[in-house]
Amino acid sequence: MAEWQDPENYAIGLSVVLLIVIFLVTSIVVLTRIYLKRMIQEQERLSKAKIEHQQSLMWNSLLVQEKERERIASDLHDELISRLTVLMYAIQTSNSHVEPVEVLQDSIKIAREITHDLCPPLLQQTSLPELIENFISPLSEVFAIDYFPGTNPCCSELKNEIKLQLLRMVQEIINNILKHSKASKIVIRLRFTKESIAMVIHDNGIGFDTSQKAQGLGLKNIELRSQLLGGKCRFKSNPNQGTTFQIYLKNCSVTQPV
Amino acid sequence: MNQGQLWDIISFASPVVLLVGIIVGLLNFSRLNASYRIIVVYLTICFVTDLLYRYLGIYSHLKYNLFLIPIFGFLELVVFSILYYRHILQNKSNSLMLFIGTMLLLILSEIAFATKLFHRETFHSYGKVIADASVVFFCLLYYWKVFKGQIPINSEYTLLNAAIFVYYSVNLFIFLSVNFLVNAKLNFVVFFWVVNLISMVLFYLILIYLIWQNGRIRRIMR
Repeated sequence: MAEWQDPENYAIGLSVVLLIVIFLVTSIVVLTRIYLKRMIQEQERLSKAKIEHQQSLMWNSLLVQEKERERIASDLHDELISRLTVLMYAIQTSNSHVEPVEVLQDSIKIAREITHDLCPPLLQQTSLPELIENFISPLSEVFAIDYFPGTNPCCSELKNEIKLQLLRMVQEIINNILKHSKASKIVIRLRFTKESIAMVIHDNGIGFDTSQKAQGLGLKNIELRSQLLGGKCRFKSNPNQGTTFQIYLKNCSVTQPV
Repeated sequence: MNQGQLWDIISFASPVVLLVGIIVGLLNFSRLNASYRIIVVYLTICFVTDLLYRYLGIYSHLKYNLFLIPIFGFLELVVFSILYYRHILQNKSNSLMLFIGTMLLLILSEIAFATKLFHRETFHSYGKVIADASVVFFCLLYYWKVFKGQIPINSEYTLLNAAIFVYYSVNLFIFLSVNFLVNAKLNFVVFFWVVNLISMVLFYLILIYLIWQNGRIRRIMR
């Protein structure tokens, strides 16, 4: 019998191997536990960051709403109420320099503009490209605007809420361009397929550094609206190289039965 | 009292712990979720098998109980296959089902056709080895799926899987060398049976703890 076949030596060898197996298996279990713990911590951190981001977006949404109310109040006070006050004094004092009918017509025009701003008229009957065109047409006196509305007829089937939100996003982007970009040209492209909508808005302005953490209320508002629509929103910009906004919605429920 | 009698008394730790586990399991049975009910069934099978081992090996005229080992292995594989396939792995794939079916058939073929089960000198329990290796495979598959993100991390299942992995790895090694262990002199191999007993009792205690914890949590949630 060989030495290793001696039962005592065989038992000793087997014991050593058993201890090694126990050690290896225990090590695998401990290391795996440590790794899983780290994975859980990462997941918790990610969840927390997502929740904080959502809270920040909701808060910004509230701030934007308040800002909008202030603007409407300011328009009503500065434009409409001031004209009606002038009209009242003109009637009371029988001032011949003031034409009551002209002042009333101006007041109606201002009230109509405020109303259209709050909610576009004939929203149901107007397609998204038409809504955008109505909005940008006054700006063509100041900017060179290239507008490519897309030719897919299914865009008229969009729900009113979706149309309105997309219009608001376009308004917000254009307002940002007007306020900050110093651009001379704006390009707007729409593309419709059966189940998706893509929108690209580009300007040739001064751009901005996107790596800065702080974002204005407008950009956060655009992000929140795109999230509510279940879509994606991206923007690319570099200093002195203009800015490009891309909005993409992929959801067949954006359409309603004709 | 000699060494053999001492080890006989210490070996009763296994059925005692199993009995405690069955009582804890039955007290909480209505509150337990399905996977822990399967564990209670497993503990019951272990208890009955332990009693059979003792009866056949000590009290019956056969004085031989090794043939129970592959049968027990078959039952273990059935229990853990159900546990992992339906609850822990959440994987209803055909390939896993095929693997389980093949392993069960191999064990059955050993039980049905191999005559070496009734001769201690040539005894090998390939059925138990196949069952233990399959259970170890399930444990590694669970880790793999968790790392890949295919199943969510569940702390209870992670602890259960770790306990099963350690116990069945040790068990696999012991039953690979069972022919030597049952034929060699006791003083050479007592270390292995002690390790087997300790790992078994610790494993049962962890299962009992998990059953108790699950019952307690579900009682609070009601």
